[in-house]
Amino acid sequence: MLLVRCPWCGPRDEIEFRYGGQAGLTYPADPEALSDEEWADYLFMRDNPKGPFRERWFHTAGCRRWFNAVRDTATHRFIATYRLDEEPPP
Amino acid sequence: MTGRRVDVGGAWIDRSRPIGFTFDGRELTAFEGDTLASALLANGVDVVCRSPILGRLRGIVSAGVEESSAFVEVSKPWFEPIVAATMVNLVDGLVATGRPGVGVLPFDPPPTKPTVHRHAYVEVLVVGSGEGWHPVVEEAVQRGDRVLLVERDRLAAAAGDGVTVLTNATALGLYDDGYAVVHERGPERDTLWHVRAGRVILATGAHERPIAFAHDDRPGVMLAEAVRTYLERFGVLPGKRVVVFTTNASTDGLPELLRQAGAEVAAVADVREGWAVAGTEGDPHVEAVHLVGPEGERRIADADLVAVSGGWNPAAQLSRAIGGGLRYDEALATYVPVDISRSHLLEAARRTSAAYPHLQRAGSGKLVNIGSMMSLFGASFVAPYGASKGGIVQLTRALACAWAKDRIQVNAVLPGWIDTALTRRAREEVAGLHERVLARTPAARWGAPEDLAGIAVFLCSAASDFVTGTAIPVDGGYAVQG
Repeated sequence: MLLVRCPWCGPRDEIEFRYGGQAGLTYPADPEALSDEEWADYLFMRDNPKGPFRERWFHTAGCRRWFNAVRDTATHRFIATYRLDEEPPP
Repeated sequence: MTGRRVDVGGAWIDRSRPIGFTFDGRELTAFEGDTLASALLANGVDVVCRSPILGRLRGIVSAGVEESSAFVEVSKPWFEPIVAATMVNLVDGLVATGRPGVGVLPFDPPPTKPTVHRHAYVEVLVVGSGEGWHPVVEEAVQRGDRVLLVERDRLAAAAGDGVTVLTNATALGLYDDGYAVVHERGPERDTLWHVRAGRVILATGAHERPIAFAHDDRPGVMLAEAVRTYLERFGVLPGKRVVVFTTNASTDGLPELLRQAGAEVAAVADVREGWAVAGTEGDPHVEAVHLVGPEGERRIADADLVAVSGGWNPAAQLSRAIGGGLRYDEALATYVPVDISRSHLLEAARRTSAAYPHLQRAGSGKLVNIGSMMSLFGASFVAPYGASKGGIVQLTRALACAWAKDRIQVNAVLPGWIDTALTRRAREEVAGLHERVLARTPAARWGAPEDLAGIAVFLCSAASDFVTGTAIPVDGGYAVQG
């Protein structure tokens, strides 16, 4: 079981958390102007890298706050976790 | 196979405290400290159950968790539908029957042993009482770390003060980030431990390999180490006339041990001398053993026990479960876990990468990797370790180039022979090591841990801002001595 470092609560067991998909997606400034393809792209298409991946996590059974993480998808290891108001590590 | 209790051996039993138990309706006696398997052998019970599909007779082949043959149902004082006889610690009044194949859960199940869950958080978890972990544990205890030792058997190796020991406890699983699940079997109740450890040391030992031959499943065919275990720990001689069938040196001394206990050694079939066991006969247990020699000659030995050793396999289940690899070791003639390169080189790469963004944000930074003398030299006995320590130097150079633009200096320190708990043990075990090191070191002494402090301070200070990508030996001149 992974040990996830919540930026608010510290290291906790993986089962306390919920996965929230890719991080850093911004809502389109003018959704009305998007074509169907562009809208579908925003809604459904996600990166799927092998290696470091920025993703959102939710501390369901703890502080119930969202935070972001950089996780290596090949090893599952968390490289960093950071608050939503913090810059992601480069 | 006609086992019996003898006067020699028996380190784990208390002969002054007899206890009674029932197997397949027969009332039998044993001693406190017996397992169900040792108690059955002591009472001459050779057939424990039948194989589930073909109905072949099944005896006891091992003395531990690797038991593949002798399965029982325990009905008193607790209910357990199926368990290896070797894994049942005998208690007074225990009732068991042979139970092949799958266990049967009655319509109205009797009470099972209660199980409680407990959580433990430790800096170091040691699984098994195998070799090699003492120096690490001693250092951890000195630091004030919490150390937990988990041992499957009833007695664990002497761990020293400051170490919490769980006996009769099996690590069932090892998962990411040092999470382990441990099943502790108590007399009254079982405990399922959920352990989170900063560091896990696997000292799980090895399992003996059987050898295939005709009718090798007949009761009376047993692993050689199990024969030794029953004699030494439980004072039980599993047979009267023994054939030792071996491929390796681990059975050296077993024939003598058996003779001292009052058994006859009918033959020693050593594969290295061209002899092998080809098959067994007898009903229900082994009565005759067919042997084949180097010229194809055949012999039949009267015997009721075959002690088999086909070599040893390291118990790598837990290291495999967390992604550890295996490599074939020519000298040991077996697959051994490969974890060292992972722990040294990949861990160093991972941690320096994790530190990079923070140092970059700070505007400058210093990284000091720890190599080894094995970054410079080769040594036949530490190939993976040397490969990973060599890799540390190359990693240091690459990162020095990559991160110079961020004003981050990356250097490596290569400690020589330093006087620590680790090398102290090596000196005890490797004859002449101490003298060889002194002879080659111009400074003519072993290093002290403090000898590394100066270079670390320098490499972490502004004084070394123009020093990067180097690997500096701290060895009293050992590396440059011709």
